[in-house]
Amino acid sequence: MKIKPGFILRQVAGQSVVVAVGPAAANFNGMIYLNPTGALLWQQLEQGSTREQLVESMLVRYTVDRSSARLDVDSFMATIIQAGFVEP
Amino acid sequence: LSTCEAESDCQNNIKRSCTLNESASAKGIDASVAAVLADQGWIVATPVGNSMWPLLKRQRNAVLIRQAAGRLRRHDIALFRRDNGQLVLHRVMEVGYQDYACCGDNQLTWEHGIREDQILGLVEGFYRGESFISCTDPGYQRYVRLWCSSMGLRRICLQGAMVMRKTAVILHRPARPVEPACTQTANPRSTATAYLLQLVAAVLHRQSPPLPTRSLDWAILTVLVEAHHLERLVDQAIRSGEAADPQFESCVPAEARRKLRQLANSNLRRFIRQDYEISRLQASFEAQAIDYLPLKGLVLQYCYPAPGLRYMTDADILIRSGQLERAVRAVQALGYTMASDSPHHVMLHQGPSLTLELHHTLLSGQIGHKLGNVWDRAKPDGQSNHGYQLAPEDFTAYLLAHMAKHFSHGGIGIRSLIDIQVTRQHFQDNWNEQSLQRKLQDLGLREFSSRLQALANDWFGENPAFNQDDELSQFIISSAMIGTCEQATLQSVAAQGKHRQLVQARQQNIKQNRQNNLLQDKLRWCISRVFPSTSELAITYPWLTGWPWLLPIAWLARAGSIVWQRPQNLRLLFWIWQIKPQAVHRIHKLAAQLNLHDLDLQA
Repeated sequence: MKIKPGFILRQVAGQSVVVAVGPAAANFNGMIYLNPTGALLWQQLEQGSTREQLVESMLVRYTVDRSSARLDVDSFMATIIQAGFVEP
Repeated sequence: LSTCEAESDCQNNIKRSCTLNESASAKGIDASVAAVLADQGWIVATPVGNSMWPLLKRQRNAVLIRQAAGRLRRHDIALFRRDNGQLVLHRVMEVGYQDYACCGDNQLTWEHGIREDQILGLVEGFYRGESFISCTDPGYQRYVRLWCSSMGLRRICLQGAMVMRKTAVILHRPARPVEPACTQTANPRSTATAYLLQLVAAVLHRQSPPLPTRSLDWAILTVLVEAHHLERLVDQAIRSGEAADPQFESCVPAEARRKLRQLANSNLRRFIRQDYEISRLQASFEAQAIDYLPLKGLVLQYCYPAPGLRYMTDADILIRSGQLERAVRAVQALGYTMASDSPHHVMLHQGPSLTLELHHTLLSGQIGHKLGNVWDRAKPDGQSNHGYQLAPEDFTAYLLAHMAKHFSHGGIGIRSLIDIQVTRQHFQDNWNEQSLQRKLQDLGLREFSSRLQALANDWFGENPAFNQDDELSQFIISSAMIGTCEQATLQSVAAQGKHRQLVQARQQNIKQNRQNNLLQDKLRWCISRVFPSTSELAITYPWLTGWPWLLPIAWLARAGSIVWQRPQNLRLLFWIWQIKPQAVHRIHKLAAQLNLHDLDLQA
């Protein structure tokens, strides 16, 4: 899965913020705040990552067991898929 | 673990619209009405709101409402329930395929997307005193036709009134010097302005702001923040206050906090989009070997404590004259469209997020000639092959000349004072003070610079005083970010006359002469606005350059575009007659104090 073109992640004043630019801005004029974990997953998804790759990246970065990481990845993915930010 | 909080402008707009309509809706018709209507099929009720004025006056004109059966027709008055449960009595303005658009007779904004299942009733008639007037009455039908067809005209009047109320009333309200916070007699606008300056100063000094006083009027503060576009700075200050002191959060009303955060978020989104576009532009210029030199906001944002704290309306980039055509083509290839081509810059748009001005000269006229060729003194930015930066003295002189132009054509706001303060802090170790002062003296900006610098230091320096009772402070606070339409009109009227002659006439106290001059100036201004010159209109209508005899067509096109797109501007043609000689006198006096009368400012 990969983040759709036109969504950019920026660090502003210590916050991770995603906005839509270009044609994507016509459909989404909002703004998404991500915490550090959300930003990590988003960056992975910008490159195109599978669920397992996302889980692995969390295990590398955080001290967390695999099942908790999977739950968190699934929860995050469900949110951004529902919002229409990713493409298969 | 991860938060994903989306905030949509669309949703906010809907919320805002509801809040506005709430105050004017039929509040008197409570929820039980719906039950009675469903039970007996009709009801007589009296609206409390003013949204249907002049047809229905609050708490005076009872209406007979019948349960709706079938589709409503255009111009029917419908009783419907909003999704938040509120009952509203408004006129149907548009019948859609599956929904309606409604609007009160006393309102401008149509409320779209009213679904069939939200419609509860239809007004059959209303009472005027003892008489019942049916909605089929010919007189009522004439009123409906007249009122609904005059929507455009009413929009002009009501929008004008709203803008006047929002800016003129709050910004131009006479302020008294700030009194101690403990006294109850402090002027609300002065208190709000003083606290706004304190918030900004706290961010600039990377400190926590003081706790707000109980008497602080947050509504006025919010209007000032919005007018001066200090949303991100104030949001940053409040965040810092909340982090430093648990009491801070309870001192800020929830509604004001929500509004300020919403404004700050909107600006943050705008900044990120602008930043992204600038990166694309720079990459394109680099790829095509076009030298570029960022100006104004593009440089200033990095002088602030953090990028994005400064609101930027448009992006200004200086391009070498010989490379301008290539630069415009490169920008157009990125999807930008040409908006206008003025004597010293080409303006291009990229959607709503960015307006780009590609300058080929910094300043025109005498002052531009004195500034000389800044490319000779510009240096590579050290991060790219074709990016340049102005010499600090040139940057500051240009910034002040640009401010002087705005000062003379509408005013400058608090942001300009912050710009002056952060520029000095950012560049002072790299510039030659004597060289800068010589340059400012040469450009005729020494007095202007020193007065503004003193005020900036007074507000945002090491020991800020937040004084705001002198004429210059008052002018800046009432000017919004880059002046208000009213202020620009006033200054334009003042500029119509021969300044020196007017000043002399005033000094000799020839009141009649002054009145006559002002009348002529007002008339001249009106004529110049309704029938602008060919050169002025050629910026918007470039075809005029080839066919100047089509000037009357351009006048008509301009008039049509104003009526259609900016009807609120028409109010100035009426507002101008309220200008008093004293107001013009104050403008001339201030310009004389700052030595701006003799400047040839066409930047």
